[in-house]
Amino acid sequence: MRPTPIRSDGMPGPKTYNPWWGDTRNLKQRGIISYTISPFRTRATKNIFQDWLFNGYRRLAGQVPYWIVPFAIGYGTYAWAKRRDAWQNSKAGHLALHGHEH
Amino acid sequence: MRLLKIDSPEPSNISYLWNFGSLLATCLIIQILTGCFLAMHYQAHVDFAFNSVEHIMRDVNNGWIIRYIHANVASFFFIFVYGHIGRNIYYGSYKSPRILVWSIGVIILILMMAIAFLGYVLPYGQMSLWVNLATVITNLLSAIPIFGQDLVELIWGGFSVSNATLNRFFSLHYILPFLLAALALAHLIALHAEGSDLITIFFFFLVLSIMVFYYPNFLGHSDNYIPANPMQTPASIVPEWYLLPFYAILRSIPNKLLGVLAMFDVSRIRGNQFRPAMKVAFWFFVVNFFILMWIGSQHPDSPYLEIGQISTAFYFIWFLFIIPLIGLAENTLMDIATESN
Repeated sequence: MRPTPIRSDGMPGPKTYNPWWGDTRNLKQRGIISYTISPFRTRATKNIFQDWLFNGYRRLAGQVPYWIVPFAIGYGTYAWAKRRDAWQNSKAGHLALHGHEH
Repeated sequence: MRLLKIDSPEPSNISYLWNFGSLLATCLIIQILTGCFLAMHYQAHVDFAFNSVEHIMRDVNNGWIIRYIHANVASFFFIFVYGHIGRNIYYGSYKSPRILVWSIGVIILILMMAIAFLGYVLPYGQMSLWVNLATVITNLLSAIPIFGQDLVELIWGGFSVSNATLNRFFSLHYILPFLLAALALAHLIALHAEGSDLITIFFFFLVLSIMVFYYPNFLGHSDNYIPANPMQTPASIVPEWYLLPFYAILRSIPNKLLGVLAMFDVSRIRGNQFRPAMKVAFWFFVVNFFILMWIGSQHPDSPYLEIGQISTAFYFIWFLFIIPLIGLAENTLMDIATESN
């Protein structure tokens, strides 16, 4: 017996239908025919390094719009607070806030 | 013939972000083992605790590495647990049928923070003493109106942090990790999954070795190398980095909430990959968490105080309002779109 059927036995697939996460019933389903290319005809590692670099960059770059604004606001707050704190503890800040240098 | 039967099917596109669980188990095992050896040489007495830790560092064979591993793995424990929770929130792992897994996980997190807090008191340095004083006072005394004072005295076993406190904290720091291990087992049973990836564990050991051998005190506070002195308050009281966000939250509000246990996620879509609004909201939450971590390390002075209060408000608003509102908006838009077709 080839290892694949043993490994996927009881797992969802073309012949077994998993109704929902964690459900162990794994109902039988029929009428679904799947075709695969022979592993001897596929090139599993085709362009993996180019894909890792360029597709990886594409995927990461695609996420930038979602985090750039929160991080910019966060860093802006951090930088502003540090500047404000330094100014409050400076001679200029003491003069402006309390009217004297100490 | 059935070699492997998995009753918790995962999508095929899971990534290294799903390895935090096994990393956390590794951390727990390391902590229990190193902690057991540290306990053989530690003295839970106010007069001897600090010196016994120095004895472990200088005299005990390989004691220094055992202590540095114990201290640094505590940090990595929290790095991984925050990563674990972040992955959970991003990919909607808390949703059915994993509600029980999430609920046990929340209890584990709270227990973990308690254990780490108890452990930090044991070396009995300046920061051990004063963080304990400051946190217990802000957490319990000011939070609980009538019997706050009694509760604090009950926990401390006196009117301040004393020998009785150190003894009971040591005892609890030793026993509670076993409760944590039992809860972690329940967490696993609720998940029903096995299997991990050794690559991440090896990578963790590599980074941990760099920390232990080259920067063992990077994540600690230098004041904790001064013996505890109840007569001298340090210039600033800073808990360990992993407790800072919650320290900032506790410090920001006089009347504390019990914490967020539930996720009010009403969206029909699992995870954030196809929910742009939720993606942005997620990153706002992450940034807010870092802001709170930073605020916790600052003096409660003018700009930091207000930022801490706003961040604390956002932390709770995020769970209570932002998540349900985004889900509601998505579902409504989905209904309008399908009805118009």
